Amino acid sequence: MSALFLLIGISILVAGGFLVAFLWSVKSGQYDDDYTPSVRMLFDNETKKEA
Amino acid sequence: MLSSANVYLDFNFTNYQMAKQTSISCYHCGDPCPEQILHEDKVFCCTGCKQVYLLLDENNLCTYYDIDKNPGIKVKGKFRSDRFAYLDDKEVVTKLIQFESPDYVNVTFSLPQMHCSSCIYLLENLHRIESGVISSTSSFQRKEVLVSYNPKQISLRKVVELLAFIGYEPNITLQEFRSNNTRKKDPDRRSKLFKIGITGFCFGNIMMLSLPDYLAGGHIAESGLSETFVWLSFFLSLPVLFYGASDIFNQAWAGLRRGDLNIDVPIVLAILMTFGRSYYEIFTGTGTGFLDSGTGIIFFMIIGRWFQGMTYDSLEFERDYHAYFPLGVTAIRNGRECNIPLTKLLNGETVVLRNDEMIPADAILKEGEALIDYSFVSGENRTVPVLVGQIMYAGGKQTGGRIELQIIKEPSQSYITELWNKLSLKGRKHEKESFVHPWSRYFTIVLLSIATLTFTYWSIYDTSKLFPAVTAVLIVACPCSLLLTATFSFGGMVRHFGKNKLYLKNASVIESISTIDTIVFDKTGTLTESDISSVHYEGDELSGNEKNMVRKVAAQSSHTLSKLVYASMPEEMEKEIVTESFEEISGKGVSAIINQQQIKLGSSSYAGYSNGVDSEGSRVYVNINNKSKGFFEVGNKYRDGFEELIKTLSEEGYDLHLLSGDNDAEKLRLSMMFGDRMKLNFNVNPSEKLSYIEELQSKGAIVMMLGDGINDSGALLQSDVGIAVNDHSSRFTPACDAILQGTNLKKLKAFINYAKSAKGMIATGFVVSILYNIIGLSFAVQGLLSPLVAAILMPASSITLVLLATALASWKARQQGL
Repeated sequence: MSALFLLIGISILVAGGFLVAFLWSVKSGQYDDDYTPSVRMLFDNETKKEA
Repeated sequence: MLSSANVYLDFNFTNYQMAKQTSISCYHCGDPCPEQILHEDKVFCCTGCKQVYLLLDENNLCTYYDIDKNPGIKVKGKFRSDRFAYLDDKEVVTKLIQFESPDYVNVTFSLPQMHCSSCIYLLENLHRIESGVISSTSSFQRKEVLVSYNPKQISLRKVVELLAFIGYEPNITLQEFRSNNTRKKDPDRRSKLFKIGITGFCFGNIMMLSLPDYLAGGHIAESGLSETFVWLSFFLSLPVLFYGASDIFNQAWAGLRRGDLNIDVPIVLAILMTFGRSYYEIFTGTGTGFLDSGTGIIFFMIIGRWFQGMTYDSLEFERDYHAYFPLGVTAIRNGRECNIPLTKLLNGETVVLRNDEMIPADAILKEGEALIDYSFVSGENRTVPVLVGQIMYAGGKQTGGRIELQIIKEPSQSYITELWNKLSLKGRKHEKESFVHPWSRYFTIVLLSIATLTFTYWSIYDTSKLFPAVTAVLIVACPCSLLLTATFSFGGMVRHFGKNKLYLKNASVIESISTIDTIVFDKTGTLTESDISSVHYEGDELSGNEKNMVRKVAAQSSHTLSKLVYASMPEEMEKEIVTESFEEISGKGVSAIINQQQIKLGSSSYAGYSNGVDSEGSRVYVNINNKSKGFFEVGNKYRDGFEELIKTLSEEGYDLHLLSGDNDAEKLRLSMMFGDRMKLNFNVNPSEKLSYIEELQSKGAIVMMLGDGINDSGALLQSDVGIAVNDHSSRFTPACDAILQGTNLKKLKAFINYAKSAKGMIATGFVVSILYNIIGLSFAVQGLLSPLVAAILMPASSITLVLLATALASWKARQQGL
């Protein structure tokens, strides 16, 4: 049954990985503005009009 | 998480859109086009709009017009190239920008005009118009744009000029300059998210580690496994106790130091009990503790605080008079006009003002025809003519042509500054205690008595159960569910108010609103619409030249209606118009001779309009060369639904007052409208407004004040609830507790009733939480509170209360028609 100890360790590591990912996303400012990016992604990248 | 709370502020533009469906509207800004300026198949209302379109078309940015309909912003007035010359000043530049390197500069502008997705599109594509701009990123909620540019290619001034040209003139005022551009980036926001994340992680894992123990009925066979679970939980609980809950501890400590037993104190007691007993059990190996419930409670509470603390980033509630002054002024130095920063303006210098520009400091008129509009400072809706040599005070706005004035006091010593300092020192609001706090005090007293009873009982009958029973009572009866109900109810209500365009500074304003019994209105700008769009012309078409002349004459009249007519007429190519003679007959109208043509503006009889009706002073008739041309109808000066509002409010027993800085010309009309429902006061100056509120309060009244200008600022601060009424979010609002969009003034009664329902909502939640507490306590006093019971009971009560609070907030809002 010692596999259980290993699994607990892994599960906490995996969860910790998600925590680190969340903290990183907060730190990099992804939660600073939760409206504008949703609009920004809808804009097309237009190419310059040919003269 | 909680993304449904994504309320963004569409303050002013929706009602605009509705008003202009009827006639042909401008392709750029959507305003009706009195004169249609054509370009290809598109119609524009003015050359300004067309220019912007051409610029965007040239740079292939016409997607701007596809995302939202008529998204543009009309550029008001003429664009003078030297308006932003003060931005060439090195000192100003360094104060405004955030980051600087030889070929990279970062600067954030606040753009209150942002209102739709098209705005975001255009503002983020600035680099396609101007190659010196490296990138621009906008934040819609904060109404800001962060521009990075290369200072070798483009100057700060050029960037601002570009923004102003396309209609987004940055809001650069003295206040931003003084605060050294340290924007409230809300460092709190990130640290709160950190705390929520870490606490959530620890709580989740502790919960998972506790489950096997519950499922096995407390007897895990495998040796060492139970200990591993317990010790892991112990280490996971440490960050929650020392980091996640730190705000709760800090607030309780701050409360205790003030000698105030706030709601956080019993919560801290419960947290300490939970963790203390759990750690004791873990260290002595006597049990598994209540760490899952303890961390869970902290997790729910910090989420609740986050929810309640979400207010409006883009609105400023603490503005002072500095925000009212522009940063640059035009001064005459070495015989030349140059634009300098206001802070560098010296006593004795000569300053040039044009139409709609503000007097930066107390000054003497040197040259020109000055007609000063002090409405923002004094509340008087009338322009004051000033003669050469007379004093004019800071804060007034020039209407009409160019004037020159000599500064006699430094801006920091002006009348408006002194007035502000006097008013804001006096009108400090005393913090009132939330009604939740006394409740939590009763709660604590009852709780402590139960604990004492349990203590006495078990010390007599079975001392071995003494410790578990007493600690269990303190753990289970935590007033956190009361706090959760309050935070989620208030948080939900703030959002419902916001949806109806009443933006509260924070949740405690709701409680203040619910207690008021007296409402004081300001007249000008609060009850009357300050929007100029309500003026329209009917009759024979006026030629461009005639319009110019009418405009000129209207500008010189000091009558309110003429002023509105003047303000409603767009600025045309202004040829130098010389008024040859000018005569104003009080109560009738004005007459002037321009270019040998006689212009008369005034009442129907004065302007020789035979079949005209004088509909209660709302029309200005036009007569040119003894020929009646038509009239300007100044429509609906008082706000929609205002009469109805006063009627219902007075029926509900509110004490209503009107304070106006204006003269009593409207008195008859107002008293006919309201009879004795409202006490009318005219000719009230700003400090009298403040003392009027003080007097009402000394008689025991709890006062709500609605005002708009700097003349109301003292009264707004002094009153128990100060609401700034505003037509456009981009306009200045004085310091206040809440900002209300003018068109929704009619909902005032619903707002008050909604605020009043808060107490009932929280009481309902409280009753439910007491039921849970009774169940929990019945286990606890017997010394039977197992970790399993706590683990079910505590999260269950939290979740039910959160759901109940949010549901009640929405339901009550619907009931009030909000």
